[in-house]
Amino acid sequence: MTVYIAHLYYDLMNLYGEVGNIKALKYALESEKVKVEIDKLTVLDDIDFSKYDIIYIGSGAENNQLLVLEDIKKYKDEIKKYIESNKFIIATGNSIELFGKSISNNSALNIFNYTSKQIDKRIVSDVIIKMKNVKDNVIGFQNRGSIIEGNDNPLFIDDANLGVNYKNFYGTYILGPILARNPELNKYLVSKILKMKNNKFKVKNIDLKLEKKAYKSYLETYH
Amino acid sequence: MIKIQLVICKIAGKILKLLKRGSNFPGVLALKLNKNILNYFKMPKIVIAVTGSAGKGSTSSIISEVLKDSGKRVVHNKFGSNMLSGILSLLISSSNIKGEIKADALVIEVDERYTKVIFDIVKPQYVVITNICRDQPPRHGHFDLVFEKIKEALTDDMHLILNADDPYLQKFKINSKNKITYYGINKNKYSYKTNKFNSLNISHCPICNNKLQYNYYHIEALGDYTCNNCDFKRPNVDYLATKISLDNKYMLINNKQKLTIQFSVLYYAYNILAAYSTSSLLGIKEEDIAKYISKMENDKKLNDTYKYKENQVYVMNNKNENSTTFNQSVLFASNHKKKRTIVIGWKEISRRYEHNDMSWLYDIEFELLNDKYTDKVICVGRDRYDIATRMKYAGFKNNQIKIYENLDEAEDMIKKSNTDIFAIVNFDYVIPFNRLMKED
Repeated sequence: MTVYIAHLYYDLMNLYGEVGNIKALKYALESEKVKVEIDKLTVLDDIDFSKYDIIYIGSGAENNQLLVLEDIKKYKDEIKKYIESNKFIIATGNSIELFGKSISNNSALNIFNYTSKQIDKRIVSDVIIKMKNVKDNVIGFQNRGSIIEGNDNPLFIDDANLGVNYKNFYGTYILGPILARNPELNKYLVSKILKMKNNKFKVKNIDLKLEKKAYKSYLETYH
Repeated sequence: MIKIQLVICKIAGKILKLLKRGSNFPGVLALKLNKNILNYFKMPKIVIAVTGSAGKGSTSSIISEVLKDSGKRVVHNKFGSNMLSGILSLLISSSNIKGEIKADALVIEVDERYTKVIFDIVKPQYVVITNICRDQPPRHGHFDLVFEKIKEALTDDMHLILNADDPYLQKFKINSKNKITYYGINKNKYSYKTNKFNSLNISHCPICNNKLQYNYYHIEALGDYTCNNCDFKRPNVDYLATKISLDNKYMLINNKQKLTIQFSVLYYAYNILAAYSTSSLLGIKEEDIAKYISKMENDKKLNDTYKYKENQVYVMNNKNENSTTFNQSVLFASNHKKKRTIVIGWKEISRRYEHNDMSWLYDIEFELLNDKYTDKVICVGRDRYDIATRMKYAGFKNNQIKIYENLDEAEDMIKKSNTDIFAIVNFDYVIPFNRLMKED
């Protein structure tokens, strides 16, 4: 079995160590003896979304985000189709804004109902939050100058506008290597991805001992 | 009235100095007493400001030393008080009662977030912007926001001194009228053809957004770049290190002046080039500048190398939450083609704030060290498991990753390494690490 991953706008939406998520996915999938192919894609590339099982996109500086917005809009219908067919999109940081109705005064992909706007004071903080179906709380960090409003599909329990979940679209403002830092979340997503590819697949080999120690020690040291 | 207030601040400063305390206090006091004091000072003929994410301290120190050696009287914030109150304190202590700075030149490193207010006061003729890199994201947000802050502080009459090898800094040129002098480094033994770093601040043309092409790279996005779609390219370099040998510790500028560099890392060479260019613009003879710089001592606080038993130890000072400093060290270590042990660690992520962001660990290309030469990676400190996880994702095997709570616990493992040792640590581990290695 081969899992095809697109690291979308890898060179523009790469503000906070996002490549860690690609590494974490690759590691977990390969532990299950699954072949992984990763395409790094950016603006002006020709992108065939139907090829991929997972699309990942990270956070970017505001200028880069707008550059990406202009490029991604031409794939609006394909992306909609991709999501409706239960394939995976993992979006972190302000990339979730691309999928809403608008980013400030710019129209966005309009796949979800929320809008986003700039705020004066950046939101900078550690995050510990409960996500349905994932055993441990999700830990992470946020550092952003914008918010979404009117999200109908919250990812997290207790915070409607920190994350978005619809079918297999998983988006959150939590930035950076969220999958490397949250072994239970990574395992949950990878199991689901492999189930999508093969209904009988059971995840059994992923060794996340080190990740779990890091997770535990973060909570003990800082919270 | 303002004269009396100035005297009060001066006296406060002197008393505190006697008590060996508080370098920012006179500035804080002055701002409380009378905000107009900001415009009271009369600057010397030469005012040079050095800002940027990294290297501003070293660069401003080298400039200050060169100017002093050339016979000028220099006022310089050499202890790194680079925000408003610190610089104000410096002006208070170095001016007379009329507010005249008693020197030929003022050389200051300026915190990138305070450039606007400080440039308004000191009105620098020369502004060195060393770089804008990923640095303390919880504090700065990201590099574009730092760029905006500095851009806002510049006026057309300021002469900029910039690194030509960094395409990001070229954004200061777009739509500006500033005079710009460029320095850069020529292709050399350690230049490479294909990008080695995942997280670059710029990879597309700032004018037309096409992907930039490179003849060669020095590190991260630095190198000889060009856009195939428009005129954007690395500009003509005024002060070019035509030859550089980090191993033999020298560089040749414009095929003319040879100078010794004390510690053989790339960013140190860039700092020297920035200082060299600035000093030359002031009319100091290039052969003199080369002479003054060559005799400078290595700042052991920055980097150090010494023997432990038969093995060479390299201590590399990095700033947490600044992936560029770590990437420089990682690249340096990866060029060391001998068996090596890597030590990574720190006491705390930041002493400034309570945030615990780990994302920057993944902007560091530790993968470059995963080759046949790395024997093991020793992960130390309270974030040791996060470091170890990062090493796992860099491809190191479980038995190569050694994990210790603190340096004392790691001591035996470090010392029994029968390889050269690279300590790639945050600044809060430099002194403890050296102390450890010099025991026994």
